[in-house]
Amino acid sequence: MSGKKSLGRFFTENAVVIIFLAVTVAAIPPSGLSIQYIVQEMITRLGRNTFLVLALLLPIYAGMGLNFGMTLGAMSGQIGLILAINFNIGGVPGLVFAALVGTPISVLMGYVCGSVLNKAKGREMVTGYILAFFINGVYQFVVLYMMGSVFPIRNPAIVLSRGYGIRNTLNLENVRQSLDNLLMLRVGGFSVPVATALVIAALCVFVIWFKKTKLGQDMRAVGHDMAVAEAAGVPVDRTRIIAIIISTVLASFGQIIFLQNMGNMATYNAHDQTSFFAVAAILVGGASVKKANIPNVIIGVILLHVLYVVTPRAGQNLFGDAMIGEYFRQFIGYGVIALTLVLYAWKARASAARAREGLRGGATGNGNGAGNGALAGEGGSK
Amino acid sequence: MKTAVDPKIRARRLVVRSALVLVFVGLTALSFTLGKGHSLIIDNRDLEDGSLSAAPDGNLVSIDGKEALEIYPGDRLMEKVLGQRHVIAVEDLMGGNRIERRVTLPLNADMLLLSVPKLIAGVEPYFEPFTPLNVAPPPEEGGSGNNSFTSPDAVAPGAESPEAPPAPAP
Repeated sequence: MSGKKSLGRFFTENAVVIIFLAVTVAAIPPSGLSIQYIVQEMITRLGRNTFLVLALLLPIYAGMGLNFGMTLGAMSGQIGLILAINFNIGGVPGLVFAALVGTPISVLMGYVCGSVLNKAKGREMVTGYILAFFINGVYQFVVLYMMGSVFPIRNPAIVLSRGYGIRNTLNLENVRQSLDNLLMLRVGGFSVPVATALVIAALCVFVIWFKKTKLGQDMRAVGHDMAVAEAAGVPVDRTRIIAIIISTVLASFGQIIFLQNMGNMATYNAHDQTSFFAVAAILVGGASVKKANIPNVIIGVILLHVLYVVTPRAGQNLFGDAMIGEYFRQFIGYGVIALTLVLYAWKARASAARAREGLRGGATGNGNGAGNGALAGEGGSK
Repeated sequence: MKTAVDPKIRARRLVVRSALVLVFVGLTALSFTLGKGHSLIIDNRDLEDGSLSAAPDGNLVSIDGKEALEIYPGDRLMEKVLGQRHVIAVEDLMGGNRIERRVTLPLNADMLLLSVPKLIAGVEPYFEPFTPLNVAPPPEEGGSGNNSFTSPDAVAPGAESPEAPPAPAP
């Protein structure tokens, strides 16, 4: 009985990962792709996306849920890259330049986002999502109308023929894969971008170290219970703003790493799906709105991207149309986010019910803890 | 209520923050200098003023030890380089005579014409800014990138719209 219960609990807690893993594994044979190809793709995509997904961790620690506002950071990174191309700065220095230009912009954006989210406690995710749409409008206004007219652009190759505004697609030839190729190692037939891996490892070390600092502990306290943290003297609003600022800055760096790997930039669209893909990846890795860690990120990026690689080919081979695979991966991405949110709400409700039952029966301990945890979640009472 | 901060701490904070700003500005300047890209047009033509002897025949030109380019009289080859300082080596294909020159490229010019005759003769400056007659911008790309959720009829931002005003006459 107890074994059955624990198996059920394991399945409930890891439902998203298990379902996703099953779908992905099932799609590999019909895709006809070799394991060698899939592994090489995963190595490349891990380097491309992991930094962006890691940017989501700190806001989760601070109890702010999944930071859909990371799009703001992505836009800041893109502005940095536009300026790097404008001044014809290339290689790794070009990436550093883009990151340095993007940093103050993303700090400002993070501050704005954090301040707005503090006014919408308990609804951070939807607020961040909508805020990203709003800032996207501002970004488009700046890039489409102000660059070349208000802000001088000296590189005619990136300006629209009307004399102002940046072109729809930018060629990042100067910085293309400069970080990846800085230290490319060939191991057993696979190309491993060591420099990119080291940057990601450095961020992982930073996250682990940061959790142990006073600020990191404050963030976790705020994430557990804002009222208790406030009573304990933790500046809740300030801590939440710092979490979002760090996340936004990291998203800015992450977008630069992502785009240097891709080699070109859709000026007005590249950031659109950034938060969506990052959130889908971390959720696929087994994270929830309130709990996430570095393994969730790594597992999530691998699982999501295996699916992205195999489904178009599987769709092509099974149904004669690669678009079915494309639809499938869109559907899976959104489906995972929806499923995770539903499971989270369901679990929170179940915990609250257990806590109430415990109180009726006079029991304390676990029940109370669960209840508090549930109430502290998004959608819970504040 | 805000508590008063010790003036010493305030001063220290100011120093630390100022130092951070300086480091930030310094790093930006450094990355700009190290990463500044130049298109170097290696020009092996006779000088117009006739001040030097004719363009040398059959040379190998290598920049920063990279793969050498073969260059003959009248040739112009383009090489992209990053950063300001470079070592340019010219080696005679026939005699094996090798000349190495260190050059510092200006930050304000993207395209430079590097004269091989001047480089061999040691007449500075070896290069001069080069402005192409017509820079035809790449054709505008349609579409709005993948994974966008715009309606099929929507005009992608950045794409030329039919009602866009014509470019002003030069």
